Amino acid sequence: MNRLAPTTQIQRFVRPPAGPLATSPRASPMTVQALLESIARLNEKLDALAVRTQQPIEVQRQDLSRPMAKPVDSREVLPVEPETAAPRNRPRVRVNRSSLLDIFD
Amino acid sequence: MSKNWIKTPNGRCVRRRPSRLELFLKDNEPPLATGQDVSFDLETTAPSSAQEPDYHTADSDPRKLHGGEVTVLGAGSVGSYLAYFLAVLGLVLNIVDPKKVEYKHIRGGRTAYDSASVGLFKVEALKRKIEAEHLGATVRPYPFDVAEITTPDLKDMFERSLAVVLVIDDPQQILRVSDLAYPVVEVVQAAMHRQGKSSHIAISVPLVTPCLRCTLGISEAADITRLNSEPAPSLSIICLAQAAAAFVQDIASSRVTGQPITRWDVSKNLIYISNTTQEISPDGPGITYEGSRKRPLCPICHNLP
Repeated sequence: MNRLAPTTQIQRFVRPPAGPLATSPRASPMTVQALLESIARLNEKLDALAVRTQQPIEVQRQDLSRPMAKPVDSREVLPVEPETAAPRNRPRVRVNRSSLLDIFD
Repeated sequence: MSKNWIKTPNGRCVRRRPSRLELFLKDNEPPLATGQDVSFDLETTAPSSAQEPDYHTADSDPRKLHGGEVTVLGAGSVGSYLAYFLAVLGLVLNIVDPKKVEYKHIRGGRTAYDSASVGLFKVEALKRKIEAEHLGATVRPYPFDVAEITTPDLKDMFERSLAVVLVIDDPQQILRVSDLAYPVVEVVQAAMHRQGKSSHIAISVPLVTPCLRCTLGISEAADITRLNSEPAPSLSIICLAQAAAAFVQDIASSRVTGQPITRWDVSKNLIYISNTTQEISPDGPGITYEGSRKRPLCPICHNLP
């Protein structure tokens, strides 16, 4: 049995599929062009939406770019520092009476 | 020379010509508003006391303090602001201070005085300022050092007063006034400390709290150090004056209405205000309330019941 070398097997396994991207894993110029066009169309839609709602475009775009709110998960709650959680545990500092005696009015 | 000729300063005579504006007004003179009675409708424009908001709350009603008497000893940085803030209550203020306002006092908001009061006695400047700005407040100016006022006069003043505010830096007079006033009237002593990093308000209530000596933990005047022209932030001075004025208002209200003070724990009669991060206030500026005890064998407060 003519077995292939291990490296050849790996090359076969990761070979890209046939089509415009078959020769190179990088995106073809046509794909980039299509992406730019879709971004331009999206921008036009955003502008139209901003004009309709009488709100600045920047705000709309910022809102869209924000990450979605995550559901509240108890694991994500920041741990409370023990100092702020239990101030009664802090030793009480008394007023130093000698510090009250250098005075001006 | 006829009225049509005008002599100019250089001696020449020119014919008088009416200006274009004069001619225009002659042709288009607006009709005089004659025959119309001018009347002021006082009934509708004058504010009535029923419609006026008085802004009182359940805890404080400043109208009840009108005409009450409060004695302020000292009109320096803290004292001038304190008297100015107390004036909003419509009180009669006895203010005692022997000095005059100098230019250095009005720089950077160090005191409540303004440039118009330079050269005046501090008490006179305060009288003008307070009575002009707060209707109902009256200032009785006493341009004397506290040491010049005799003990019977001081006692008379204290007996008439709802509270005595002690904002002087003369150690001997601080103790003299507090000793005289302890059995008679509430004393609020306010002072700033070195560099203005902190300040305190010591309150003595007759027969209830310890006297000022026990509160501050001192036995003689030499224990107190007097700082002259000490640098301090003006806003810290104002902060102390405002806090002390609020305590004086509570005490005066309590004496007028007979209601107990509920806004703070009266047994904690030393109020320490830190203006920076300190060991006692590690998170930043803050106010600490602390009680104090009558010391055994204190000649002022221990022998009293």
